[in-house]
Amino acid sequence: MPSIRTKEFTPRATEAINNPTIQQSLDRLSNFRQGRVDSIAEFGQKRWEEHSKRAQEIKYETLEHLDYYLDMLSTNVERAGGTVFFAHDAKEANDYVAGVARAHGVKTVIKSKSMVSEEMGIADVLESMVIEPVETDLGEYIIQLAKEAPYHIIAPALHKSKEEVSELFERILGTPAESDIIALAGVARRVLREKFLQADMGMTGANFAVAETGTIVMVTNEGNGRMSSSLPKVHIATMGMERVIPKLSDLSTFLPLLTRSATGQRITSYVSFATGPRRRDEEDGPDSFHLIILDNGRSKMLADPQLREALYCIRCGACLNACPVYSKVGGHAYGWVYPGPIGAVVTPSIVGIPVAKDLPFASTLCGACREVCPLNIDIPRMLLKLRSDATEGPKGTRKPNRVESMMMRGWRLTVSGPKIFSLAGKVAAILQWPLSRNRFLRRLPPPLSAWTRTRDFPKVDAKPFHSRWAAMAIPPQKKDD
Amino acid sequence: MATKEEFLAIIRAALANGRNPDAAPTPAHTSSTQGQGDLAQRAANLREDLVPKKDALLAQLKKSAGLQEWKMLVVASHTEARDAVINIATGLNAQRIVRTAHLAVERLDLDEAFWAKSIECVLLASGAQQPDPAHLQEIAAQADIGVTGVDYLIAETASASLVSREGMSRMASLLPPVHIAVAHMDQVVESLEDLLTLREAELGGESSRNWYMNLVSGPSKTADIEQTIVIGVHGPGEVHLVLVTG
Amino acid sequence: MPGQKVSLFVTCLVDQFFPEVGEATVRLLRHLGIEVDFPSDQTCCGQVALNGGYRSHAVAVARQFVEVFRDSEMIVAPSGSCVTTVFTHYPELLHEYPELAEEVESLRNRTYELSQYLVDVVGVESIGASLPKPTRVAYHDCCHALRDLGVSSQPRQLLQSVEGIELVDLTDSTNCCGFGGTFSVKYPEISTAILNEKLRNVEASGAEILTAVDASCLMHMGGAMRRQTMEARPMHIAELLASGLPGGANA
Repeated sequence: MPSIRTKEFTPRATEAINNPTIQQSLDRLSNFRQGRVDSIAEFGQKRWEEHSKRAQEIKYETLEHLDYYLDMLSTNVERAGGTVFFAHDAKEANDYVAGVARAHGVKTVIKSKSMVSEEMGIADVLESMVIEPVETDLGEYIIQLAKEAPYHIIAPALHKSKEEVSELFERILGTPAESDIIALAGVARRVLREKFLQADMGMTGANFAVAETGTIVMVTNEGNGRMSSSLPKVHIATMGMERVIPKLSDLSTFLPLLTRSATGQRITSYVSFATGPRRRDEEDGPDSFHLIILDNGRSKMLADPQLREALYCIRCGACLNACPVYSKVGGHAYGWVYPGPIGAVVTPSIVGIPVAKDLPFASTLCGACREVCPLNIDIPRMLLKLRSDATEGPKGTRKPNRVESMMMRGWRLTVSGPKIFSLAGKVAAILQWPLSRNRFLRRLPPPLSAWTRTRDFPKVDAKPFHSRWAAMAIPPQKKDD
Repeated sequence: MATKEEFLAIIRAALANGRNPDAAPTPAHTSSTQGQGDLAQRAANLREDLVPKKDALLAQLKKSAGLQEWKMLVVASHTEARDAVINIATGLNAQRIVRTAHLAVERLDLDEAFWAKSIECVLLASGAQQPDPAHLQEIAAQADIGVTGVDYLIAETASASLVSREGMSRMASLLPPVHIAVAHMDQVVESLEDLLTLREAELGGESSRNWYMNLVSGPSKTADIEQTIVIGVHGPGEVHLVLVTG
Repeated sequence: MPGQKVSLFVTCLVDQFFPEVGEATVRLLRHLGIEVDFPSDQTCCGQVALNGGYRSHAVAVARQFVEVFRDSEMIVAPSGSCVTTVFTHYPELLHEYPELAEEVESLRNRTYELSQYLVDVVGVESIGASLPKPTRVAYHDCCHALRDLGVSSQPRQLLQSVEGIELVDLTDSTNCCGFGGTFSVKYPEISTAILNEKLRNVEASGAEILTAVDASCLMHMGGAMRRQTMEARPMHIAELLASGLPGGANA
């Protein structure tokens, strides 16, 4: 598994907020937002809602019977001549890949985009075997060179300016400085084209896996997915176990939801369907095909009726684009593979809440994520559930804050009845008196000092509403009564 | 190391919470073999329904092809199609063409026609007896243009479906920087749903057990640097659709 | 409208910090012929506990709330987030008390945010108010009111019915202001970054008054507007509407 840096959330968030290049890059999320809106308008709102509803039904059905569909998927992949490996966790998955690579004397692996492969951390494993893993998705390639984690589910190098990319290429590839984006992409195309043609093994993700036919579906724009699944002799596809869908026809429900939500496209340049290795009568294609189906904590989410909905996610990234927090802190603050609102649910569920406690709390619960989610996943509800686990959950999920717990007990007492509530207000009115003579306070002691650094804070009113009610209870007499 | 049984047992345990163990998946989602006859009928009905829609489909295809950045040409006959392909090639100063054995391409007699212009055009195939994918990759990687047919064209999204088969190498539409797809009006369907229905109907039977298909809906592109679109990374940056109506 | 009667759920924040918003709410309702009572045992809906993950506290406070308002046929609050706590979250919070299920279901369906109540229940088209001078007003869509309660057209309709209010365009009015309850204190840099973008939009709108249905969000935005000595000032919608009534907001 890649390093978990979830404990660094706040400093990394602050760093991003204070970095003008990052903020400029994040401003470009508006393109994704507008693209999605325009694309749905073109599709038709009613038609979109029907697709969304149908997709939720299919997901519900599939997860309810996940064992049945994974069994079917596996059977059909094998009937097509492929091999299926069920991996409990990242380590088992990595060991399997290592085994296949060794068996085939693999020297170079070309990889097309797979978040699951990031979860596995397979690149490091391959490198330790002196096998060269090469990310071929342009964004993934850039961050591979930079040795960074992906910044966004759809656009891994979202945070990099073209100057930074040029500098990266100069430093690592020895290419001359380039200010033109087309030229920069051209550099990557040339370098990667060589790798495509010499690679012994291709690793891809699977946006969907069709149980009924044993087919994995790759949704891409670049063509690197096609290359990775057609050029080398060995093809390994990695998928999270929740990616299975029952029928081929279900794709017509899911595909527009994915492409229009992710990039505002009515369809991507390529949608590739791979069912097992090449047939004997095919001109090309891999001789062997492997599908790794990964659990890595998903069964835990499946077991929790309140978190199961997170498995509906088709990884479109729309929630990231809509999130006011992500739009300011960017992807690295989230500290692991999946950033943004979905990351705030998935990461603590997989790596454990105590390690990733900030993630469910660093949200205003505004609901924009749920609003744009094509599967209508109620992320705020799940964040509340994780918060409750963090505070009052069983040992292992719990990471309470003692001071805060005390304050909450105090609060609970304060609101337990009108008399004590009134008394608390009176006490606060007295205590705040020395802090300022004005209506508003410019400085408060910690922890509320965090507020007053940038905002004035109102004083408790000496005459709260409940003390004014008696005078208001009888409405003023009308003149003509 | 996880076996399938252990893995599925964990899932069953995870689902056991509140689940009715006797509940089987709903009929709508059980395996398609039961509905095979049904499927064949649906496919037949679909084909029939498409016939009167030809004009509307053509209009829709033209529109979406434009939006998806295909360079599209509508021609009345195979002769015209051949000329169109030749013109595209000469216009690009192409020297080497690779092609597939799709019927629509075979009909154009391209090898001869290109040879007459001193342009090399080869069928990208090894022959079933001696498959040599590496060799095909080499040829395709050096070619200027790949010419293929299509299995179907989706009007709504301007998507050409290509299934990999004997004589129909995956490389022809992937490695050269330019891809020309030759299609016939009869191959046009309306939506992805239509295509998948027809595909599913064709898949019944052992021989279709494994298959590789691509939907190509425009040039290859990326926007991974500052969200600026760059075409032709890594697949063909220029895609032509030559549609024969006659 | 004669015959209508509501219980005011004033909310803990308005009660202690912005009582004038409560007064304006009462004035507004009475002006429209609605009788108002105030169940004096009320304190809080429990939102802060729920959001902090202190579910057991939230449950206890919710149970209390149910009892306080048991006899109220209609409950109106000058807040979207507090009504959302009742409407969206009480069923789940109290699901361990099946004996309360019916009451909770009834409660959530008779608790309204002020503008929602006036437009959707009472059918008010115009407040019948006018401001002393023409005023440019920007309306910010508070998140819970918007996305949980569907409150969007109602406040705008009421505002536009007031003579003298010029409702200006606020770019990205539906974007969160960055308050998020304790988020504003736990993650102050992020909260402030989101807030500053909102305030840039407010500035650009040329508004003299920024209004919204939640005093909490206005407290957050207003606190920074004051700190940055912005021209625009915050005003809760109840206060703004009531200020157009004969005698002003606080007669």
